[in-house]
Amino acid sequence: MPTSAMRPPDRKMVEQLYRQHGHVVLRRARALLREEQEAQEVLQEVFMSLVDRPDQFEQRSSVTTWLYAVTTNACLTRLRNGRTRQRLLDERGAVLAPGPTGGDAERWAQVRQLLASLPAELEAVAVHYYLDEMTQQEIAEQLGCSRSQVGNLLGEIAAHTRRAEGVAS
Amino acid sequence: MNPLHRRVGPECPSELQLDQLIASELPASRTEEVTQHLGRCATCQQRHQERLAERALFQELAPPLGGALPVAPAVAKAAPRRRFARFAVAAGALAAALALVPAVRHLQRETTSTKGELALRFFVLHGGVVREGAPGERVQPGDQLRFGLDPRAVAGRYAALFNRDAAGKVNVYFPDRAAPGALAARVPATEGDLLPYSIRLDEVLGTERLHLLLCGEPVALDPIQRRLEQAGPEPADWRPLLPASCTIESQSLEKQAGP
Repeated sequence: MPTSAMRPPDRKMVEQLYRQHGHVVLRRARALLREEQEAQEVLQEVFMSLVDRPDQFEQRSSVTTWLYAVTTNACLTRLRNGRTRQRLLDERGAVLAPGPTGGDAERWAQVRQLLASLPAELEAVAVHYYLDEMTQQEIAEQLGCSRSQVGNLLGEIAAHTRRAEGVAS
Repeated sequence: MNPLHRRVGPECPSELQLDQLIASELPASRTEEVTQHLGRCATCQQRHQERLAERALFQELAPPLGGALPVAPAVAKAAPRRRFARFAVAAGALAAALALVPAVRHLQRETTSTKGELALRFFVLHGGVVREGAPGERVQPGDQLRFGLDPRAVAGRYAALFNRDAAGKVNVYFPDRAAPGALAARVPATEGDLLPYSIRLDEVLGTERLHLLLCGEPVALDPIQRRLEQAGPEPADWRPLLPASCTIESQSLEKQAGP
């Protein structure tokens, strides 16, 4: 549903966006948080914040691109919460949200462990690269930076991972 | 660490691009490229179908913005001999979501049938997410099951689907609303692959057995139901009751308490 290029979305338009795009937000929140209750909260939080502050969507990107960014940020904020981070590190959870199985599940778990140890400025890049499988160009467009900067950030993540593995071994 | 590699090759669209395709947000040229790719790549086609089903299911079940997730209402009273709740699945997004589930994998499940491929498949609705069931599927009280019958297997045959729970109680899942004296029935062609109702699982935990009966004639269900309850869960206990034209296909569910 196209939103007017000239005005922020009103409540009715946000509700339409919710029905058309909510599944994307819920899927990403479930994958990142692995807890159904928190994922549902993020779903409501993302769209209700758009009701409260409609001007935050400046319509310079597609709705989906914008929702990817805000969902990622909302989930990372929760992950930074000490209690949630510790729960993930302990590999315990309340009601686990549905997620990948088999080899994918193991990699999801590895990525979540990685996120729990990364500095905040690298988390979004890690999500977009390892979970969303975006190209560096797509990540650059998502984050509003240059492709070379994304390359540098991925290098920092790799270095951080190597340091962590070195400490572990 | 490498990306999750749902993408088979560099030409495969990213998660973002798949979502943008469904939202009609891609530029026309890229839409054409991705659409053509979906016609060539089975993995990406499955990814695409999963997202379409996910969207349909969300539109069916999502709470209103700012609301709590609703519980599907019962739309019919249960027959006296039933202990499970059934829900009519109106033509709508849930049906559409299941119709978009990737084509059935012909699993070689446990079966007493002489056939290599199974006639019965089922889908589990848990926490607002639909998944296809597999042998020994772990399910929970409150989950909803919806059953599909292979049209090729049931064509011209009389079917009955029994469930025996861990407490030994036997319910008839097909024919729907089977009253005392009911017979095995033909599966109406209009229902296609999926039966038009779902079953909500009750609180009895343990191993449950699903038995699909396919016969060349309409056999009475009451004696089979009683024998299943009295003698035990295995078809060998009640095979003598059946005409030679009948085949039995069985598989198990493991109903466990939720976390």
